Amino acid sequence: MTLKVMSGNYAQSYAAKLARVQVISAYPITPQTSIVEKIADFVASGELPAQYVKVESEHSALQVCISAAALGARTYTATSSQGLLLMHELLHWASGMRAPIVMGVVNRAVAPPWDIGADHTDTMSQRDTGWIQFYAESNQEVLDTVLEAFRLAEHPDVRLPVMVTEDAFYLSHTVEPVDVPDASVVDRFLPPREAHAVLHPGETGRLGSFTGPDHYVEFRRQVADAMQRVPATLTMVEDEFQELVGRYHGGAIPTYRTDDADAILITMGTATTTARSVVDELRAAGRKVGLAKLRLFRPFPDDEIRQLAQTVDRIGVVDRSYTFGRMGPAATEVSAALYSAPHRPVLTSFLAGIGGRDVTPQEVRMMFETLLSGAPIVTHWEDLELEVQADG
Amino acid sequence: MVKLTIPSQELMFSGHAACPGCGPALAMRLLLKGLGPRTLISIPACCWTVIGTPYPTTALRVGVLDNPIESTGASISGCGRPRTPWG
Repeated sequence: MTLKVMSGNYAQSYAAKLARVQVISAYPITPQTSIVEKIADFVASGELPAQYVKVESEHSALQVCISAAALGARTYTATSSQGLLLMHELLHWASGMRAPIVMGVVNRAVAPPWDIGADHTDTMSQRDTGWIQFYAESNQEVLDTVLEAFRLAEHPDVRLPVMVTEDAFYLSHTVEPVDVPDASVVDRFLPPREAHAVLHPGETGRLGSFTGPDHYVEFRRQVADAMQRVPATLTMVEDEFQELVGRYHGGAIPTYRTDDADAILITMGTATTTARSVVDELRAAGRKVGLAKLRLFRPFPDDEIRQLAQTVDRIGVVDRSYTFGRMGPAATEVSAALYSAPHRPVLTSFLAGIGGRDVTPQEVRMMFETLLSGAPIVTHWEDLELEVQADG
Repeated sequence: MVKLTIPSQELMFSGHAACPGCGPALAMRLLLKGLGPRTLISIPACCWTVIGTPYPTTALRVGVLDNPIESTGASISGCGRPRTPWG
């Protein structure tokens, strides 16, 4: 165990090295670049005996990982924003071929207009591609979640690709002390990948094959079933991680001071840290507020959301992206989870931190005030500085 | 003078889904005779996606990896033998 001061991006790189990935393929994009630069250093220096395949686009990077995974390799890639969007077609291929790829995604705004600030639109718009999605709050959580992601992705009950995301700059380029576990400990937690559903040279086999309606539905159902098995598998993986490494990140949606709360905010990524400090401040002033961090977005933790809703009358969901014509995407998901809940709190969708704008304690305070005041606002754009004019 | 021969081993079976007289079907049969059984084919979306016959059957006695049209080159780049960090 070594304490190192590193960025969220380097936390991704160190985790990939500790996971002993065999094939890495990536294309650089700000603010992801230093992840794959550091991995290239590890490979060039011999610290990581792996194949580093340089390609001309993110689309090709993911295809390299899919094909290498189809031959049994443990693979890793990383991207952000436009790069992730270019991968879209192959994201479906990866999950459909049950390739246990782990990908670091630095959440960045989508153009136009160009903006490289933190924004979740890139990964939110990939939510239906069959990838498991984690959102991290700290650099330590990035490193640990990447290691857990490999275990989860390769587990016989799951065999699906995983994205581990981090907010652009707030994590990607901000350094924090990170506890790097010993390689021998990680080796016990994450043994070599067992080759299931892979092609072997000299043997008849076919992956990604044509089928048609006779079997297509069954293949899709298998992916759906694998997703359903993620929560139970994650619990097991996190328990083992805690036993071997000594850290636990709280499952799909860890809660903070939610017992007896009158209003709960659900946040994702780095906005959580700010919101937690506001909860402490408001609690000290006698206000009953709580917080839940949506760490796992796919599969969506319906059961935990319903359980959370049992005892609270007002829930606000903070989204760092917007689904045009709807509301915040996480709010949409929470809303769907609550429909069949025995107790349905009033739900408000807050949009904050879009395009990398800071989510300030003042803004979070206003969100709690809005919730506690009982005003039934469906969607609330925080911190709009310019008058937005409708053109027509 | 060198006498050219075609290996007798068949790596493509009858029962495939090619149209009668299909040139690519003949090409694949001869190609596989030349390449031998330790062959891996990366197939872009094309007639050969279907000719190889649908799951759960295959007319090819080798490894086949299907992929989208535009990523075939990248797919082949990903098929290099991975190094094994565990030794």
